[in-house]
Amino acid sequence: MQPHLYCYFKKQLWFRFILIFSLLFKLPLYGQTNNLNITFERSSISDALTRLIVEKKINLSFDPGIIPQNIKITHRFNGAQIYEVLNFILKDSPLEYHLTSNVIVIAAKKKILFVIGGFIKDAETGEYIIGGSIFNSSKHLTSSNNYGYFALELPGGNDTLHISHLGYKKKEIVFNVRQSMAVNILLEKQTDTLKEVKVAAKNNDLFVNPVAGSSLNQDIIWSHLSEGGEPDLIKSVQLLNGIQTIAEGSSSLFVRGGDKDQNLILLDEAPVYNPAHLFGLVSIFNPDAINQVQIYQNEIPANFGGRLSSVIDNVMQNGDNKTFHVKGGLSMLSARLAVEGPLVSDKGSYLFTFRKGFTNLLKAFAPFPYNANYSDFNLKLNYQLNTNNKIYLSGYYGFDKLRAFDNYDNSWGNKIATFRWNHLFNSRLFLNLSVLYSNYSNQLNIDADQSDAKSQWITGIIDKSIKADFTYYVHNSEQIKFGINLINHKFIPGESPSRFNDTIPVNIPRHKAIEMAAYFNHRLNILSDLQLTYGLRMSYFYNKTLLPNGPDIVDFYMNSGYSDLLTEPGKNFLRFEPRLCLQYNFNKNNAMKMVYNRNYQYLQLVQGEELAFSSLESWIPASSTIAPQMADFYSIGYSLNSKDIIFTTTAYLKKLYNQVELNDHAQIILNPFIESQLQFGKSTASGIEFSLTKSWKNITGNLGYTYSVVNKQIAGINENNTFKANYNIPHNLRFSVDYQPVSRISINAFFTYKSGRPVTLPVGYYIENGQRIPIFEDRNTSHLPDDKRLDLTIELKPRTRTDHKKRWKSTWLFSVYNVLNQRNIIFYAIDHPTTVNNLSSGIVPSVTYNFKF
Amino acid sequence: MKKLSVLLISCILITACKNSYVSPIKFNNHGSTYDLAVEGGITTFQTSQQIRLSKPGLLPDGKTSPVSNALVSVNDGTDEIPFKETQTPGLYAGTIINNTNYDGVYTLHITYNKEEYTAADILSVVTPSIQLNNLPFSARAISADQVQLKIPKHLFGAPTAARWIVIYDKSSIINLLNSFTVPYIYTHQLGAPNSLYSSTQEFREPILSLRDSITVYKFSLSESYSQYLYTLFQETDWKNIFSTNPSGIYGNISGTGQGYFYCTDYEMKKFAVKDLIK
Repeated sequence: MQPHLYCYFKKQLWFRFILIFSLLFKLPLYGQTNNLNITFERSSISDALTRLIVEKKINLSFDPGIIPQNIKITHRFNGAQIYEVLNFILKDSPLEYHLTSNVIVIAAKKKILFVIGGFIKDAETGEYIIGGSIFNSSKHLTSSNNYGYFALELPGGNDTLHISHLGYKKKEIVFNVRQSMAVNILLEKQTDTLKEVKVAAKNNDLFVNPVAGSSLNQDIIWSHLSEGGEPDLIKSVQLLNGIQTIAEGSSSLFVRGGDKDQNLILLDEAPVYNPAHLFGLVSIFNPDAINQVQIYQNEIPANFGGRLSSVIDNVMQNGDNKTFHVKGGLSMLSARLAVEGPLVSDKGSYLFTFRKGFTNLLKAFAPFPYNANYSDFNLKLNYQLNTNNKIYLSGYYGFDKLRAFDNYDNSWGNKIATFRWNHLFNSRLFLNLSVLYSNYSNQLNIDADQSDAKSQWITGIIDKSIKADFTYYVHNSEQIKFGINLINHKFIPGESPSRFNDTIPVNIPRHKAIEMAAYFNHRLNILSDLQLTYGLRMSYFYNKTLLPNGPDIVDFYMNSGYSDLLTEPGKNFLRFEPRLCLQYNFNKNNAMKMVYNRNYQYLQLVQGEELAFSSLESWIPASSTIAPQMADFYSIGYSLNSKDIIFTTTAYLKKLYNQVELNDHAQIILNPFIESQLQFGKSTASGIEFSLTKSWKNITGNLGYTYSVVNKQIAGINENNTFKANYNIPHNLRFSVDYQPVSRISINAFFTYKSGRPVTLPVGYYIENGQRIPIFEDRNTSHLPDDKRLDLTIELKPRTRTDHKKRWKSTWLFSVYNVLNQRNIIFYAIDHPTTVNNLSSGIVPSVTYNFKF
Repeated sequence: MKKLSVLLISCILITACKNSYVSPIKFNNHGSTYDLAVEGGITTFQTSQQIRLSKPGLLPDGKTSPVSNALVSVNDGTDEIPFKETQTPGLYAGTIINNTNYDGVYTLHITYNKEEYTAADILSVVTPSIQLNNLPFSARAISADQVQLKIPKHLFGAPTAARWIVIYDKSSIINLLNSFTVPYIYTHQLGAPNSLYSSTQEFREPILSLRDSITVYKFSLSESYSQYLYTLFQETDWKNIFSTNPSGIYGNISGTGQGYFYCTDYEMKKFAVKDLIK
């Protein structure tokens, strides 16, 4: 037997012997507890206790294994009480005694843990910091949640906490913990943010960020400008590994083989159904208004649901709660102005932003004589009622108006509002209660050139919802989230108000639907290096079709073969969505993660465009003829995170069911039976992603590569054969370098090389009335030439002698989009049998000026 | 720093935007055999009817060729009327006396290269609607004695689908119809795909004298023919960043035959130009 095992068993035997001995003989406790006379001379605690049992017949039990051997006792007791003796013996040890069933039991002292709860905030503006990490000397303890709150269990006594977050100076706080308490931690922004910020943020989520998912903050969004010299949130998201776009200028996102309608885009928790201005050239998110973006594409926590592929969670800034500021800027696409300041100092603040777009760049991009414009407004108010209660109110209103020939108008916009109440029941239990409103509508002239009629085609969706999200901090490594969510959807898939009374209905019936969900999500360490996160989301969807009123409507539906709609009581679905994530940390720098998600989606965007520009959004719900979309997602990843190198790789497989595709040549305007234009099938996506980031003194480089394949098989499309999805772009290489030669200058170079998207080219022509008519066969069997692009962005901060004191701060951003002037094809139209006429972007220089005072 | 500024400014000034260019493209290999495309049909306008047959172009040059020596006939519901190839290769003509078989079916039979093709269409009666207030074009006075018409190729959201011809010069309607390159105006019952369409719209803008007159013809379409014409529009004139996925256009010719054999009724009215701007 090994020596240490021998010792272990010896101790165990000795303990049992003492315990059994004392119990068998039922030694009196108090019989000889008074007037004890005993002398210890450099006795160990074990010896002292044993002598009390044997010599003084004290009914005492203990585990020799927990008794420290290094403490020696020397004392003479004359007529002492037993508690005096025990107090003396145990005074320097981590032991205490209890009286249990007439037996004195010596046991380890119970640890008294205190809960420290609070918010991590920006020291200058008071903005909450999401995903801020808290470490002590040995390990990561916790992170601030999506509302900036954290809770931490600490034993009493002194401890040093290290608080850090990307772009902020690390902070150390020494606590002498004597009781549970609330504390707000203020972090100061780093002036030299390059190294840390760019390293971590350009990696996908894997394990770098303590909160599941990738995060983008203001620094990242501003480091790379899009086509118009605008910092654009969606365009920044498109730069992440695993996220594709199929045409420059588009705001659509195709995440790990998912379609463009399978991303849940949130603005302060309210859904955004069309995040695009100018058909997608610019996103609706004003960079002055956004604090942080969290992107979930791998592990989707159970508190999110309703979409298959990703969650893009945009959090608006709260506004500076200490000082009044005006900020804004001017670019080739827009002018921005914002004001922020305290409502009540340190208790509440406001932020109001305004942006108005110009048409310059659109005209440069599109060969259309267009008058296009957009505007948007953001408002955010917050107020701290007391230590445990805080309320928020935020709103967004934005619209686009386009006018082409002959009064052909197209206008669309979002109205979004959020009311939130954050409540702390105690340091461990946090509640976020939200009441949300989202209204998207699109109006299109459909016969503006008719002299005797003027009709509009209106599509839209209105959501009213309420949700409650609880977070319970069980221990530092264990957290439970649970909550409920209720959404009232109103779908307007397409209707023309001037034609409500037509004899033959042309309007698509409206739908009214209720979507409910209850979830829980439990994160815990099942071993010291093995973290398990599991959750379940139970979702319920009820949809009722609302037939239009009108003359002869009953006869119309009876005669059209859709008589079921007249008697349809509504359709409901109950689905369970399990989530699982297992992470094993080999050591401090190496980790592995496995993820499984099942997601259901009860609404879909009916849009037949080959490309992914926003034009006419028609959202329709699951119904008796449309099954909910479903996806099973599996991934496995590895992460190396050392001092100057971050490497992550993830392989994934996504199987999507009940996928919706429009018929060939489908017509969804003035067609009341939109469901007859739909076909259903499945889709399979798989891929592998690599990301390597290395930093030197003032240079950070990031290399990302994705190989992915997306195939679809839809009944009635491509003769039921499998075909490549429009967004099947197998190779996607991205390389970016951030260089900061001096503190006032930052340079970002971004290069991307990716496969050309699939296209359907003709196999021949025939002639009809003098016009060449293409003959098409299989879908997406050809592809466009590969895309290459290099962008440069330079940020200059003017020098002033009193740099640290000046109130007026400004930056100049010079950007050259597509420096190499590569003619990356956006769309093609075949004019002549042997040529294609392409629309391509080409080089776009731009200048942006920003200020703040 | 100065060098950097000079480099940057030079970069911005030297470069310029260009929006489009032309690049070569390859045809895909075809999986099916395409021997025949059909143009033309039966009209109530005249008893003499013409049908043109051609072979689709499947080579990169895209050239089509006339189809000669085909056996062509049309059944008017009672009789099978043979069509003979004219002196123009690929052009077949026949006389249909019974050309007003409204709501009746006319059937085309073609035998070519040992393959038989058929097509059928219904003759729909035209809905009389040619009036000053619903003409498919606009007019405006540009001087004391001149009026400019604006004639689009496509219009949307119309009460009924139809094809129109506006004759404002000395063109002969017969010659136009026989040319197989008729400058039709298409009125679609379906809506405009979206607002961008009008920016790629084709127009004719003739300038006429106040003393002139114009003749407007309206031709009826069967429901399936109007759908076919809308798909043609989607795959040709409507190509934009919002275009739908390209896919096969299916007419009413059996097998791998392309095109559409149609039946059409007509209405005609004359207008004085001066009345168009009242």
